[in-house]
Amino acid sequence: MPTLANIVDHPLPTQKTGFLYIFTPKHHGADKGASCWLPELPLEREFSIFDAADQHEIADDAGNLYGLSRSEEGGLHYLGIWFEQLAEFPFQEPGAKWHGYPSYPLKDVGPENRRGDKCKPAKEVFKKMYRAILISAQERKRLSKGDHV
Amino acid sequence: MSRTVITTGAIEFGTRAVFSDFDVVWAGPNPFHDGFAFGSEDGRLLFTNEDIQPVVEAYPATASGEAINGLAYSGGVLAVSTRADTTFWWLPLHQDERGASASVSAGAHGVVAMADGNFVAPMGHSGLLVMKAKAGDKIPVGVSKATEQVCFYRVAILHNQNGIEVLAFALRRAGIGFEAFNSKAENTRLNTTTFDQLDVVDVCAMEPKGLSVAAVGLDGTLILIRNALDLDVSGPVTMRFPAVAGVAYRLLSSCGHIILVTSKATYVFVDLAKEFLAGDGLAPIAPPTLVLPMEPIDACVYRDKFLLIVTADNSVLRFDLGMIAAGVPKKTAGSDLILLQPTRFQPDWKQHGVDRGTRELASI
Repeated sequence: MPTLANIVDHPLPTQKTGFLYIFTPKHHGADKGASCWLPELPLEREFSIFDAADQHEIADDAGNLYGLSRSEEGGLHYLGIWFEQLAEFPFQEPGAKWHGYPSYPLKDVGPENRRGDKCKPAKEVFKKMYRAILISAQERKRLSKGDHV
Repeated sequence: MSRTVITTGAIEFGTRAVFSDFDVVWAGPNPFHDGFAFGSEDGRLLFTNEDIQPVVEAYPATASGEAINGLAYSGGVLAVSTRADTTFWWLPLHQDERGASASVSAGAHGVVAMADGNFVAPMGHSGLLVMKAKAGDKIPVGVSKATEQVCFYRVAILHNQNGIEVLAFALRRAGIGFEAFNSKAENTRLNTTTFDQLDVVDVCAMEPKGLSVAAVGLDGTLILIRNALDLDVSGPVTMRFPAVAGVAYRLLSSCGHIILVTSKATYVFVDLAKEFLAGDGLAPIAPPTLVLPMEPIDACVYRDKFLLIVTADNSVLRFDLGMIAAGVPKKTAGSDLILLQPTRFQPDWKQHGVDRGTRELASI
């Protein structure tokens, strides 16, 4: 998918909860400093990752959802331009539209105002993915270290 | 927390140790005594002897409680890295003293100790954490960032004959990076070698004293380099073993062997490094290869003596490298021993320099 100049709405809500989803320019090439989806990743795949995250309730304590995409060979696809293999969908109030971006399981030093941020995804997220059989024990342990799988 | 129990049993070429009450995810040498150090998924450290029996109880070693992915020791300071933070422990000089610790809220992919007491931790796109281990006043912790988009993923230390330390980095799509270590310089030059279509995920020294280095791409492609600081004379040799399965996780070298750990197996290419360094780099090499199917998490080499592999079933496999060196070439049959024929190819590669500047992240 090329760089987005405008917000694009997905036509359908998620199957389980009915969340609405938008594709944002910020995470599709418009902001070079932002975590961006791979240009070759179809928008429909991005939505399907969100839909599965909602389906399996892969959420942290704050309600942020997390997803992934498994390749035919068995591994996890890279989702973002910085080798991210997970995606984060920050919590939205009821009725608001959701969006997402690739998320790497390594805490960035970040700007001063974000130093207090917890590492994302939280360990509990990996455990939920494991219990939902979305990832193996091998993948859970490596992701929890910040390693690729 | 209940006491960690480790049950061991014999396997071919070594020992299998099964851990209970300790979700092991990382292994390395015990920096204080003979034996090993293990890190858990909940941020605890466990020190054992060479028989993989605990010598002290496991204890929390990180501020975050995240899974340990690295440990290094220098000058009375122990550094422990996780994806969320790097924790430094000042060890007491006397038994009746308490140790002190401080944590930097910066996740890393591991940590190494330099000869001058500095710690270096690759932090992905965030840069490189550099900290001098010394007791006393506040210690500045520097973060060094490249001027271009570079992912510092793994680091290995090379030693030349004169004692100069060279850092070798796996930089993912940016290839391999080399830099003579100079902790005093605020701005340094990182020489990178980028390979077309290769995602470099690990790097290791091929000999204890020398600047030869091996690296591996995500697809298992091996990159062998005779002299990290002089690629013009003999450029990198790249080869791929089509029989290698899985995603490359780690690359190690010991006793002249190259050890490739993938998501599906561990491959010991017997004498591959030795033959490469002894030859002209042009002759094809088809090394006897030990293939060990497993689900690895991480791996390390201990003193050219043992290969330790942490596996997904909460076990650690300890292979005797001497037994492998002696036993593998003698075997003429068996499903686990094959002569893997590599495919030599030469992807486009290019060198360029990247400036690296250091700024102070925090004082601890």
